[in-house]
Amino acid sequence: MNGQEALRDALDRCRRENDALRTEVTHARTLLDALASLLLIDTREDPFFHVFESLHAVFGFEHAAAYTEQDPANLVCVAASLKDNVGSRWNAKTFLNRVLGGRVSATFDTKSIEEYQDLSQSVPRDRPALFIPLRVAGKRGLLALIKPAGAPGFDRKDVELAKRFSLLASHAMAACDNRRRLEENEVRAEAAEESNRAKSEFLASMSHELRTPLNAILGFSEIIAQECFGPVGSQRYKEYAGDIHASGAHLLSLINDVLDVGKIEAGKMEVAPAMLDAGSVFGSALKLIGTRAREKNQELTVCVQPDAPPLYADERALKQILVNLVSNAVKYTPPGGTITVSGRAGPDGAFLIVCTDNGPGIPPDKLARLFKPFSQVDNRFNRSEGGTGLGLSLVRGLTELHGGRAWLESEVGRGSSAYVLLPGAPTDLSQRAG
Amino acid sequence: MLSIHTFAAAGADTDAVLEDIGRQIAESGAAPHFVINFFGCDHDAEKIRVFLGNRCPNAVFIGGTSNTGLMTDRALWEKDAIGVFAVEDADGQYGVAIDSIGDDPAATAEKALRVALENATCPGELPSMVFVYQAPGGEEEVLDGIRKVVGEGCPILGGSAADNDTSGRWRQISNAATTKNGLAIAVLFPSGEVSTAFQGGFEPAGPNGIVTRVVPDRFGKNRGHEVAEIDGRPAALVYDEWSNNMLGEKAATGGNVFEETSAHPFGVEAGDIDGVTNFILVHPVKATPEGGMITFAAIEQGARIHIMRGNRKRLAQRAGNVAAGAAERLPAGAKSLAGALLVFCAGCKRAIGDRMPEVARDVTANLGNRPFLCCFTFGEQGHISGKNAHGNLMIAAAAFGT
Repeated sequence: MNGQEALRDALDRCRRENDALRTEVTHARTLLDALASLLLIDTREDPFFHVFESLHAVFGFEHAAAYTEQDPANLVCVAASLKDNVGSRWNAKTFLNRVLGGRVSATFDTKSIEEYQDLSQSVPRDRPALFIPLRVAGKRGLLALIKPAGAPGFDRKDVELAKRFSLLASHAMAACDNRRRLEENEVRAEAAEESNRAKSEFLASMSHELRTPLNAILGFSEIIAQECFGPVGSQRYKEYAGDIHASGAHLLSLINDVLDVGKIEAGKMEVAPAMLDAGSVFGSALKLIGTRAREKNQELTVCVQPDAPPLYADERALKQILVNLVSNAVKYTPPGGTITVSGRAGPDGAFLIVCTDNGPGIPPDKLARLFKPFSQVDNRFNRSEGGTGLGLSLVRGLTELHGGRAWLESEVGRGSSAYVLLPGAPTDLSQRAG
Repeated sequence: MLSIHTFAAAGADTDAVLEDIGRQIAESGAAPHFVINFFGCDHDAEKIRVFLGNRCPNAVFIGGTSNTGLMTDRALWEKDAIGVFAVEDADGQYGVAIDSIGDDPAATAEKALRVALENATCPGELPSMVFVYQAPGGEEEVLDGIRKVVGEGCPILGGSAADNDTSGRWRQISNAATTKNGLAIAVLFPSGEVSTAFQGGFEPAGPNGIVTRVVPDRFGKNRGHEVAEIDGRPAALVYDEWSNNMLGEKAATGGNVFEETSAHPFGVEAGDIDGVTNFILVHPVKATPEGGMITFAAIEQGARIHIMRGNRKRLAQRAGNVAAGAAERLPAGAKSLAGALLVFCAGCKRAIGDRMPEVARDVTANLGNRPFLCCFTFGEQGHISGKNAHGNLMIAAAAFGT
């Protein structure tokens, strides 16, 4: 071989080597592109379609199937080029368990593999196959690529490429699955929000429609009870009219609460804070409840401590807060108990309202849900004490509209304390009030 | 996780050497699952088989005799050494089989391979590597038999068991038996990666010709282990001319030319393999009175044949380069290397001569002081650019990743 021949030979070798490397790079790029596309596809599409397509370009199989492990060793076909195989089951034994455990395996003689004996007749046998482990939606799984009968088998290069693919594909499938779940969650959250808004609007609308006839019931029952146009004839009718009025008044109060909760949830409730005289607001708000407390022989103490900062709140909302807090305390504190309502200094110039009773207390696991609408400690209280469970929900909603915070502390057998922290007044108003 | 240990000791008394190795194994705490074992032909192979069975009860093992010693990460060992390459790999699968080569080496190899796969509990699966250790002769047919089962896509590494003087005292060993003219085969499904390298350290010296006649032997019509004519003339005469009369009188009278030809083997073009032209080296060992040359590896009639050249320095450096090449091919790179197995041509060893300790140090350095075991053989099998081949004066290496 002379120098020229040797050079030509070397160039030929380089060219062929280059071609071989280019093929390898093309295969690797095809697989990487396919995996990257999994991160971008419409999540309603079948990701395996993309996986199979790219694998086919590289490995040239005839059939492909993807299996995931439903129960230990129980595989279910989740995607397949032969659609009839989807849903079919395959019991993993020695061979498939190794693949599920992470081993890429090329088989040249499936007759000898125990698991193949269990397969349905529609699954091609006696053909070279490549098994690639894959994690799908958090489950162990595998891809099976099957070549046509008589085709050259998969070799170690295929196995090495499949090993790398397996690792990356599992990550890509996980990312695809996470994206799909995220999108589903977003859709669910939007639906839930829409449903909640519709509910609030319905409640607000219904409450309004209920109040109109109720006003007539309240007005006419009061006229009858007070015999404005002359005696009703029987004392019993007069008492019944009084009962109708009292029940109507209760119903109106409930409807008002429902309306307010609905407004808060729909974001339609607005508050107009102003500088208030705490002692005066506390006194007028709790006047009516004081009567109920006295009826139960309860000791109700109301005080605004000298160090309490100026109170900056919406008067109507604050009265609702106080009435609901103290009504609850009166309702659940046994006869003869004590209830204290105080206004005092909170952190950073905030005004803290504390309503403390020596009632039965609330178990810790029930505390958190009491601020949710229609929640009460338990049905036993529902039955014995009545109510809708809207009171504390309103308290929290109204407090939060002020930018404040409401919470409960309780100890079973010793009583409960409800706290409402209202932010301090803006500096200029606060100085004027001071 | 796969880990590798090597153990070796030397001495004339087989029992004493085995006792020493047993102590080393015990001290290491190793409980191997797969073992490759090489030993000098003066040792009692059956004693070694029993010893390995008892000392490594959870391991399948395979091996055989090595020419005039062996090499490990600790030293170059003399001819009465025994070496053990122990693989601890609870998550891998390994299977072995052994049989007499018989009249049909391809059929024997096919059958043994299937038995080994069953033994590994991996029937029908493509192994990461097949290791063969056989009596000299019929190597190409053995490769054909293995190819028939697993195709060309699985690397085959191995060698032809060697004695110290080509007198036929070679042995093969496995769990089930020891054989004189047998074939031991192992299939490897390690939990880590395996990569291989296979090279000759020679280049064409220039003269070349076409093999116009081989003496057919039992392994094929158009190929054989005796090259009768090159370009229509007696092969020994042609070789003698190409090599500047290195054969001397033996070119005409015949005789053992094993040493004379070690530095100048035949090179047969291995064809286009993934774009790389490679030479398979064929070592002529005898000249016949008729002018033919008997070779360790079979040669096809019609093949272009070259006389190759190499120098001692280059040969001495080659083993380290081949070992390093195998380690670098591990997917996670040489840093993931757990250990390596080398099959080194006995003819090369002879050509390198007193520079062999330098080879041992070079291989150790190239493998980053990781454990390795190297045997010296009368023929080597390896995977070269996508195909499995048998050659002489070659070095084959398998690197095991963690």
